[in-house]
Amino acid sequence: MSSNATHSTAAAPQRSLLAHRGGYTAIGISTLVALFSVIMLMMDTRWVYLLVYVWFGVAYGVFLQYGRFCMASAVRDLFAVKVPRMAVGVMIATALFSLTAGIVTVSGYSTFHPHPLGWHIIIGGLIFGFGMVFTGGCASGSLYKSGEGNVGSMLVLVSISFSQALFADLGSWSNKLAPASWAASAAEKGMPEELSVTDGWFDQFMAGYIWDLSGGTVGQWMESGNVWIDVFIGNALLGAILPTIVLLCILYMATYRKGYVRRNKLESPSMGDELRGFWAMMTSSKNTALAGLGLGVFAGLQMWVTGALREHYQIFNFGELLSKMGHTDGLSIQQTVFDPGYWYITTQEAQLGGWIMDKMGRDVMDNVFFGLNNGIPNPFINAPLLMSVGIILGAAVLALTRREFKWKMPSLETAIFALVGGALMGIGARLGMGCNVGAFFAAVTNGDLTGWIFLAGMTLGGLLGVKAFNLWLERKSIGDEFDI
Amino acid sequence: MFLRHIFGNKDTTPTRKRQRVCTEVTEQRELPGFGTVAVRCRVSCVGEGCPKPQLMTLKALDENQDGDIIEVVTDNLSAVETIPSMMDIYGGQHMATVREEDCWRIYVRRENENRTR
Repeated sequence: MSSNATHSTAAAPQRSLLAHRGGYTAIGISTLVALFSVIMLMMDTRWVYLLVYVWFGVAYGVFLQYGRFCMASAVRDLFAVKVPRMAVGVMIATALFSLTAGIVTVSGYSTFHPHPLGWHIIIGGLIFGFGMVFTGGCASGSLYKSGEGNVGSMLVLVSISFSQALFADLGSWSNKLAPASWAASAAEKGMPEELSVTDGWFDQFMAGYIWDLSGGTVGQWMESGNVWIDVFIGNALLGAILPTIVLLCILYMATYRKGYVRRNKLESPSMGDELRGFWAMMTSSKNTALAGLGLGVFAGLQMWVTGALREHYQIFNFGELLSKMGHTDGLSIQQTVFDPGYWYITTQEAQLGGWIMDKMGRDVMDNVFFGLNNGIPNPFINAPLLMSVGIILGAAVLALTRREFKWKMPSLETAIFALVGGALMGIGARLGMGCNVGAFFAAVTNGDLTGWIFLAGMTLGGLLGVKAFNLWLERKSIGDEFDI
Repeated sequence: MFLRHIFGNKDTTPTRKRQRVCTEVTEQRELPGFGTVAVRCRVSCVGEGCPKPQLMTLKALDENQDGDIIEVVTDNLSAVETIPSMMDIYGGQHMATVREEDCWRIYVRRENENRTR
């Protein structure tokens, strides 16, 4: 087993944190985050609601960087080199988060809303998964890689932000692409004039299609009358843990088993041998497994803390707190902002893109996505966006401490892949109502089965992406230095 | 079966002459737990993004004989994490990962005869 996967530092002797410049920068970033927190709290203690997002973002960034935790490589490594390392890590995180989320739901602090079930999820997942292979990182992966100094990943973030904002605010030309039934259904919703829900493809998609769908969690369907059974048997066990175990068994049989049996010279492996092999697969990368454990616990903890804060301030949405503090700029017409209360990536990036477009003179508030639901708050007081910034900073701090931070400029090819792939990811994320985190990870762990549909779409998209990527390499490598 | 189609062994008959990814070297290296060993070849993939280092390592395993020690030089962090766990599957042994100033040197040894792929 590669239990010796620890990074030996034989050639470069271990040096203390302060013996290299990265250490100082890491301490500097941590101090800045602390200073920012103190100043915000001194201005108004209610900013703690926003700071919770930042702090959890930093924690996520640390875990993501520690385990090199990237959903893109989960799918891509699986198909390109048949290595289940990252897929195993994701499954560990999923199983654990379902339990911590269960505790939060039982205690009544859950901030989760199930996603509507429909065809859009699998199509969104497919587009997202296809784009993900080309960018070399999923939505959360691109954040932590940006923190490691990867400029290509920063381009992905820019591309995701603007493609989402543009897609959510498609102009009138896109009306004829939407079925007439959507427009009719959207018109019946009685939405305020200024949203113009019948104008623009995405508005019709939301108001005329998504709103007519319904969703729910396994626990809600069981209706056993006992919240513990609903949550832990329904949501956690049936909705997340059992599917996780099934997927892990498939991964073991399809990838890991053959090598394990051969390596240990097992003639006819007994059940015990199989279980030992399964365990060896789970622990083949300890860093990834540990990161999965950490993410699972912290994701639950964030829901609990945010839920408790909402109860304390008697609010349902951060927008109410913002208006009480006098910040009404960029709130939606319901006086709300995007405030999921759990780990989420893509919507806040769309808000950033929308905010910049708004400042450049485009009216982006005339649609459902920004105008009715999410708003475009100032990036400096946009709590979920600051969580994403926290992820970048957390990853940067750990990378700097471990002397792994390195500015990496992309080649022209990588840059183009980043922009095009990022645009596809943005469109996929808006169609599928989230990314690998919001539409899959946060969904399945709360008993919302639509997350598994998104994963299926994403896997299929990833598989197609790997095929397309290999074709590209194959074409390019004719006469080139080598092929793969 | 569907799974076999996805994960199964690909036909690797070379369609044209493939060039090697390894550079032959004869170097003695001190590896923790293994003492001084002779490194047979080096795969340099500094600056390459995922999944190229992984694929190049697999190719290097193909190009060498059983018992040969291969040195993979990379600065891709996911590859540093993935290549050791790949060895469990592809009939190689991960010997050590050595950290240097701005890259990692991963030492793997080709092991079994009837390897996958």
